[in-house]
Formats: sequence, structure tokens, C-alpha cells
Amino acid sequence: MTRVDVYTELERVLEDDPPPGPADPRIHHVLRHVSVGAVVLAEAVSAYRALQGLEASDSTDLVATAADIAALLQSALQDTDAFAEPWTGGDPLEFIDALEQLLYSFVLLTDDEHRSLALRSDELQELLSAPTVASALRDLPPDGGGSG
Amino acid sequence: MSGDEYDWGASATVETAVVVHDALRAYPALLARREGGDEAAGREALEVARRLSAAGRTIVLFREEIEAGIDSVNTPYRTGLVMLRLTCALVGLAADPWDQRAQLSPAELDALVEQDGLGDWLIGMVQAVREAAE
Repeated sequence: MTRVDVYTELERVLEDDPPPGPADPRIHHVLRHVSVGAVVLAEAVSAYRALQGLEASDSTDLVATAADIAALLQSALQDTDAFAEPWTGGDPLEFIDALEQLLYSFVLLTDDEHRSLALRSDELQELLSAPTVASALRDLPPDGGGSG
Repeated sequence: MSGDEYDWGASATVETAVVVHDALRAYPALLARREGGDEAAGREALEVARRLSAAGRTIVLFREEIEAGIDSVNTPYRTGLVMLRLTCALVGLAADPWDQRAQLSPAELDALVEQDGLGDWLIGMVQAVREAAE
């Protein structure tokens, strides 16, 4: 799996691909995190689908993928209120919710006692079908990830 | 709710409060140990992250019951937020090498907990649970 350097991606998006519209710093904050988060999410979903059916997984890989999600979420949630406000692009909390549930599930897959609580395939699909999430994943370039 | 129904929402709320409270107390020491090169702190951080993650998934399963049983709308929202950011930080500690991008400073954590009286709510909930168990 290609690892994403979240902060590098955030800076690249910020410098090379400024969002259209008014320069509201809160909207900018949401847009750049959704943009980079879509890449992180697509890679995480691909990895999750590959790993969830295995009885034993390498916890190092699971934690590494979870850490990418964690870094993105920690940066995004520095301005929590920005994500709590609906905007024209949809409801960004749907995006946070999907990443949050995947983060927990990757951690739960590291331990046999807890793995039954991790996201099932149908639950994952429901999260990915949320309008804001589906839209962000559709906008990814063809090599942007493997959400299926 | 009738007397013979188990209140899953209340149970999940109490269990979550205890897990978050204990994780909040553990995190600063784990961070300091990881910064000092103690790799065992990473493994312990993953264990705490597992408990938080289990609580986080349980909250999703009983979200409606939890929100219906709490008088402050902000409390479950703030608890969930602190739980998420704490899990992120602990996962960063558990990564090899440890991932500083996901860390929270103790001051950031304090600020989160102080919002909307969440810290007082957590302490009250945990004290009540532990007194009832004694």
C-alpha cells in the first residue's frame, strides 16, 4: 500500500490547488482536509477490505494505516466547529464519521478479543455511501486509491 | 423503559465515561515515556487505544439510546470528540516509529476536557460507578 504523508499532502493542496470561492479560512480548512482525506480514506478502505477477512493480521501494518487516519483526523479536528457547519459541498461530518469508524476498526482488528466490534462490510459500505463521502471519493484521480 | 429491560444506552454511556477517564489519565505518562524512547509505552498505548475504539464502536451501536438518556446535548458530542482525538494520539504513540503528527500536547488535552464541563461530568460519572462497585 502506498503510504500518504498527510502533512505533505495538506501543504501541496494548500499551495497548488487552492479551493474556489471566498477565502473563508474555515471552508478552506474543511476543503483541504476532505481533499487529502479522500486519498487517505480510499487507501484505508482498500487495506481494510484486504485485511478484515484474515484471522491474523500484522498489527504493524494495521497500526501504520490507522496512524495515517489519525494524523489526518487530528489535524482536521483542530477546528472542530468548521466541520460542524453544513456547507455547499455537503456535510463534512459524514467524512469525519467514516474516518473515525475506520480508525477504530483498524485498531480493533489488532486484537482477537475485540475484532468482532470492527466495521462489517455492509456497515463500511453504508458509510461510503454517505453523499459527502461518495462525492469526495468520486472526485479522486484514477490512481488516487482503491475504494472500489 | 420497563424494569426488566437492560438500558444499553445508559450502560454504554457509563462504560465510555470510565474508559475515557482512564485514558485521559494514562496518556500524558505514555507520551512522556515514548518521547524518552520507551518502546513498551507504544504497546501499552495500543492497548488503551483498543479500549477506546471498542467504546467508540459501541457508541455508534447505541447512539440513539445514549443521546436520549443524557440531558446535555453537548456531553455525548464532546465525549465522542475527546475519545476520538485521544485515540488518534494513542495510535500515533503505538506506531513504529511513533507518529508525532497525531499527538496531542497535555495542554491541548486539558483544553478539550475543560470545554462544556466535560471533565467534571466524567469525574462524577466515574466516582459514582466506583462507589457503587465498592
